[in-house]
Amino acid sequence: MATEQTRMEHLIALTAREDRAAFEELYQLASPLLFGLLLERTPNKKTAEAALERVFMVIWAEAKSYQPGLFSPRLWLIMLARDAAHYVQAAKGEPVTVLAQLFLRLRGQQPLELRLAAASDASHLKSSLAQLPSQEASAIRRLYLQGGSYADLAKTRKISELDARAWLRGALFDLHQRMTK
Amino acid sequence: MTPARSSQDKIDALVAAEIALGLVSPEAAQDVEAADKGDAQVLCDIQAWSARLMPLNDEITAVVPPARVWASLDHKLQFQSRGIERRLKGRSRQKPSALRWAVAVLLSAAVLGSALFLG
Repeated sequence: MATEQTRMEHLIALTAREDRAAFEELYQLASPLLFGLLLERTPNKKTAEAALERVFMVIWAEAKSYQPGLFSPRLWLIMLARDAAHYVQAAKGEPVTVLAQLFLRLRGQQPLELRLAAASDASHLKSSLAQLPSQEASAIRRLYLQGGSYADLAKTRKISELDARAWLRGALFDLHQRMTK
Repeated sequence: MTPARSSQDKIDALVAAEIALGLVSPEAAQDVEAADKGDAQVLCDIQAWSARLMPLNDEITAVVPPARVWASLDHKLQFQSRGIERRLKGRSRQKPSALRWAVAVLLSAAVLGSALFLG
């Protein structure tokens, strides 16, 4: 039986060849997760719907740029969704998430240590986060799942943006140390 | 044996973590440029952090979107492909290909030649 990951990779490959049936199946498979994410990262349901539509327009147009091994299909779709959430809110006409831009610009890169890193680190994330001070853990969680900027973080913590950045970097360094122990 | 990473490498790894979190900073933008030019270490760090944070997505509650989202998407894609077809048809009507011109010239020459020969 094919795993969800292999199925998604296959559907993305077929979508790259403009297979509408495969694209629809990919939508059925992935849209609940992406819509759930977009509801967290956008102010209302209407914006989340607009962002979801944009994500799938981008998937239709960019499926040929997807490289299995560079990022897992789930991560790729999530990155595009996070990008779309920024896009529909910024309404500047350009995607703003650096990671998504990077992904869309990369062509032909060889997979590096992704699979290794994922296998060794994934099981440690939750326990490592639990060991961090609760404010640090919740800031990392919130930024990843709901989005935000250093300005937001500075406002929440009532400190300058520069201090917010130093504080978050400290938290990330701490997390990294715990995960690689 | 892997050489120990310098403190600059460690800072780069933290910038990669910021990128994976979705935070945009000037250093992050520079790192993206570096990765785009083939800096394998930066790309590797971004990939590793993206993979590390991936389990947080398990906390997302899946929600089935309303049917109107797919209906609208489907409509837009159909409209898009009809537009492409129309443009292609229009182009082939407006600009006969070089091959068609060549066939037409050869046929005309053959007809004229036959007429002259028979006449």
